[in-house]
Amino acid sequence: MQDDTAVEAAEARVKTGVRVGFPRALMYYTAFEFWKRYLAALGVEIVVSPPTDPRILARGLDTAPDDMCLPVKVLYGHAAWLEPRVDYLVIPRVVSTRPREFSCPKFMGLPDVIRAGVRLTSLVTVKVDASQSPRRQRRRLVEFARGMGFGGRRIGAALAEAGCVYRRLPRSVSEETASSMARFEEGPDTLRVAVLGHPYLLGDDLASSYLLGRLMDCAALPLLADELSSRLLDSLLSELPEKLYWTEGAIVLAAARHYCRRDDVDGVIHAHAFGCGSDSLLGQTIGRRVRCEGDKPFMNLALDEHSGKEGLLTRLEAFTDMLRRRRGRRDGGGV
Amino acid sequence: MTMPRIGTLHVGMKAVLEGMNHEVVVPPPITAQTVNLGARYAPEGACLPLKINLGNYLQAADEDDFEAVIMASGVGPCRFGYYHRIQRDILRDLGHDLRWVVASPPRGNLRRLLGDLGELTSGVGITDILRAAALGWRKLLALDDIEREGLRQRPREARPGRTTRILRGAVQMIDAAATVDEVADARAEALQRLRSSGEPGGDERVRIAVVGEVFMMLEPAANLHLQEELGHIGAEVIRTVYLTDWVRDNVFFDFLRMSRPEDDARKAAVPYLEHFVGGAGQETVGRTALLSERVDGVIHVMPFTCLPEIMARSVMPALARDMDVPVMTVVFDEHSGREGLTTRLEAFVDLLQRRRRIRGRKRR
Repeated sequence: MQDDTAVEAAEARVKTGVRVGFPRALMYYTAFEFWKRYLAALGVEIVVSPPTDPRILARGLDTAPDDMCLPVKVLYGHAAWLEPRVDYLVIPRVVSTRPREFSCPKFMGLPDVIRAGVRLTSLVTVKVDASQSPRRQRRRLVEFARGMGFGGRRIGAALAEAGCVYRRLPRSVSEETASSMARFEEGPDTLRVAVLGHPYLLGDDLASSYLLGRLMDCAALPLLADELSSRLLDSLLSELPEKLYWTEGAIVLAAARHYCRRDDVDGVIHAHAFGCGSDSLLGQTIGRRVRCEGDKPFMNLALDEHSGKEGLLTRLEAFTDMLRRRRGRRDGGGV
Repeated sequence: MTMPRIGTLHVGMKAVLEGMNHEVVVPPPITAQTVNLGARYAPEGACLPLKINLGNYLQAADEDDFEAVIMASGVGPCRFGYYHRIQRDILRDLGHDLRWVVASPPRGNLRRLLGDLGELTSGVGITDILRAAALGWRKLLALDDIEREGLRQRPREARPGRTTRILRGAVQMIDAAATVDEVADARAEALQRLRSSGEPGGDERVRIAVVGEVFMMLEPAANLHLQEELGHIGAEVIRTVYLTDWVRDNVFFDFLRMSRPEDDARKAAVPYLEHFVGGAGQETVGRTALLSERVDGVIHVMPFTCLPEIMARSVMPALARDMDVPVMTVVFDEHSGREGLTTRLEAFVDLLQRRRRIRGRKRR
């Protein structure tokens, strides 16, 4: 039985020739692997848009409503790029990724509002709602595949291979930045700076104004919450004194608490997009937690499409300078 | 204890809390100073209602002493549910260490509601509680009825400002009323005065529905007295959310798991905004769709950065086109000015009047 399923899947992969586009924005940075497995098992050719470049960004800024946060505007640009190149364009409707918690209102209505900005003829959506029963979640995935013209047997086989339980698999670092980080050489002067923020902001080099790369230019190694195992994250989340109903926001706060307690962390930066709902309120809480309880230098960065390169560099240089001086004083001797 | 100022809520709350032997400090009416005060200490990207509420508490603290704040909370994803936490931290930083009595939506869970409010009722007999609740509720109902009539009468008023004066007097009378009978008398008197204050006619007046975020619609100072302005310009305003409706829908109906008028609005929104997005986002879209046949235009009010309303606003153009009804979105923040608003409202009413004339209809 198992062998038949595997063979069917392999044959399906060769036969369908259906091109399905997945925008390199938002959900790509939190759970692409989850959908990729399912799509691959269905036998489609997956097309991911390229890393955000100035043209994609400009298209997004043109078509998205002004008051959307930058990561959402970026998504609009990617959707527009993919539309003429694929048979189906996937824009997930992420409602909830942990039971009794929510994602952002923008994600909940994204497939509806994006149609008002970008002409999309082949949009398919899949609802993710971890607050619903596993059976209902499975049905969503079935509906998703049916929307692309697949039939029951192939869908069943794909679900068996890929599984239907949503898993968060964050990538807060773009491929290019990841290779820079791999080549980064730590020295005695190297600072270690925890960077807090949503993966879909940090992982997009252009949208984040190359924050991670620039930190490395200042001889500081960025530490990202991706390195925290899901078990550690779960335990940090359960420790939070009050229940937060934004999952991604809660994760940032939980990571803040973690880095506060680590001696090897010199400072903490919280990068958020202007207009981000959860960060506009949680930013205060995070800052307070890091400064008071963790006694660590903290910098808050608000990023939007108008962020100037020079301004960001100046702030990073000032911050890292300050961290070095602080460390010098601590390790012994004067300034 | 103190509370946020939201329209006439304080009148009802005062009756309920004082009926249970609590001392109530009502924050002063909201002015530009309130907004500035709140905006100074609140996070910059927070929504206007949070800033105004914070201003309320700070001004109340200036006037009198209190140990507790009573307010409601939500469960997301709209940020309202997090207000109390942020406000508590900010007030504590400013030296006000207060107790917070926070009522989350019961959602069918009576025990949770009682748990939230339990400390308020301890030591109070059940008859007193019921009497206080009944008095408070009656006051709010009466005030909503009067407000509704006021909106109908204001475009017809013989002397500008008369309606607003009658309304203000009514609030004072009802606030002072000590029994439900006194409330009923005050209500009847106010309605009678309103109805006799205006000129007849009015088929040619444009009708405008106001939709949008709940706090913005309930608190006139937050929307820069938009409804009053529209009345003075000569438009009849249809408000889509009244305080008592909101309490009824979200506390009673929700608790009894009965279907609510809000649900109809949500259903009507589905072709444009298929899913719940928090706050009143879907309701805003649905109400616009449902009312489009009965009004000449729709004004959509929202605080800057309000996420659910941003979603609603994004789909409004398609809806306006399909329903053939002009929709104007007005975004408010601490920098909003009354003059700019008046200009926009006058232009909008002008547009609607011209549209009517061109299409040769008296009333839709």
